[in-house]
Amino acid sequence: MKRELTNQELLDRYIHAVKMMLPPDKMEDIAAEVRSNLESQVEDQAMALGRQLRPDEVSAILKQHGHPAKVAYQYREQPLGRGLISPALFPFYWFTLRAILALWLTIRLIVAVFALQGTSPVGTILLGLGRDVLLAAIIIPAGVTLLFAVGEYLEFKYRYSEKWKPEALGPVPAPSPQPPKPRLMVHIMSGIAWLIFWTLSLYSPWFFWVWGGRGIFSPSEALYAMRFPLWLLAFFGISQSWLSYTRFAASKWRQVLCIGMVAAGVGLAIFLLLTGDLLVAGPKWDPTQAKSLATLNQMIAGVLVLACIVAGLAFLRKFIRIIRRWSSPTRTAHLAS
Amino acid sequence: MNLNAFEHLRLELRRGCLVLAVLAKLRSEYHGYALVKALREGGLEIDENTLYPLLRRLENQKLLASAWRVEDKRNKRFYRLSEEGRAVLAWLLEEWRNINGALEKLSEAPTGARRRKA
Repeated sequence: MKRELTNQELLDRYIHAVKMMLPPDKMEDIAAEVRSNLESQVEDQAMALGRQLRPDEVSAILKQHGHPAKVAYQYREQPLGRGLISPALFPFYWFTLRAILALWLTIRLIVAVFALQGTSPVGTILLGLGRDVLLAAIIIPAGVTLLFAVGEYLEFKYRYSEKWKPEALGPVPAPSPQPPKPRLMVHIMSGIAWLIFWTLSLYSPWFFWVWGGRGIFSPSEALYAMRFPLWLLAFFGISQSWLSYTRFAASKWRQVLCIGMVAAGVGLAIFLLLTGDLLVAGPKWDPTQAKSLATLNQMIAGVLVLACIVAGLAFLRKFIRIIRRWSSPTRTAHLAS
Repeated sequence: MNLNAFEHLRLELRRGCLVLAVLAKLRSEYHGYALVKALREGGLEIDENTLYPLLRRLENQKLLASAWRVEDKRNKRFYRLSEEGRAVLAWLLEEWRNINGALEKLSEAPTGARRRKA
């Protein structure tokens, strides 16, 4: 038999469900305010009745307050398609749009990685990928919006606002552990090891040239020429981890450094990809290894392409969050006395 | 009678008045739920889900200022009219009175009709 949820559990689940659908930069603040208002309402009704409310009464308050998706929707400023899609349908529209975009992107990336195994040049594959992503960014939202707008016109409305039950909302997940400091320490240590290796290669070219297959494969001219930017990138990477570890700099400055690093890294990776193969025949080249060299180069290119896309998406997300945070007015302004 | 059309027009009419009522009420300080209650007591029924985001929008427009404060052992966000909000409220009230006066005149029976009745 299912255990009846307590008043606090009902409230926690509801707030969590609302919070998960809020814009990330405002979720904590808005969730705190929704909680405070609901707690005041529960307290007010308890006072009027002269007793604690029962869970079914708290559930009724939550239901009357509205479905979490609808509540969260009201706090969105200018969501895509707001004019065409009504609040009742918007949460499903938003979910469908993101799910289709994510699915399409995953499939297209897998196709691109397989294409790298073929004979087409990396540049052509990358250009094709970029063109398709741009087209999909226009066509998919347009198609989904049109579909939902037609549904809206035909008055198709899933009446979730009448059917949902606060008791059916999912439990609040246990809080994840604090950003693991040991992980940051591993970043710092591995970064230092990389820096030492790269410094050696910077000042002792012989060390660099024999790296990779003891002279069978060697780094390309372009990779060799980019030694110093790569060294700088590793240095800033370590600095960023160190600042996070010691919490020395304000969070926003750490984020700015992180964004700068990711942008520089992506730029560098794209530049290297466009220069062609990153490994070439070394001083002790063995022609029977030609196929292995080609496969190795394709794998490196594939990893770089994937890393660029993942980092690019993370970069965009962080960048938008920072812009939003900086452009929003101070929310905790003191009241005029 | 077309109830749907009436309901739609009534909502449109109320939407405009709501901002005015909220601004007028926030000449004193209130937290979200207390404001809902105060508006209800004043005869203006309002959905919580409409009011709370509206408060944030008005704050974004710098018409309201807010602060978190502990009251009854609970952290609450209190809203109050800002200086800019005070000026905007005065203009809006003036506008409201003008509209109200004009509507009073417009809704009176036409002179010709009154004569015929007499």
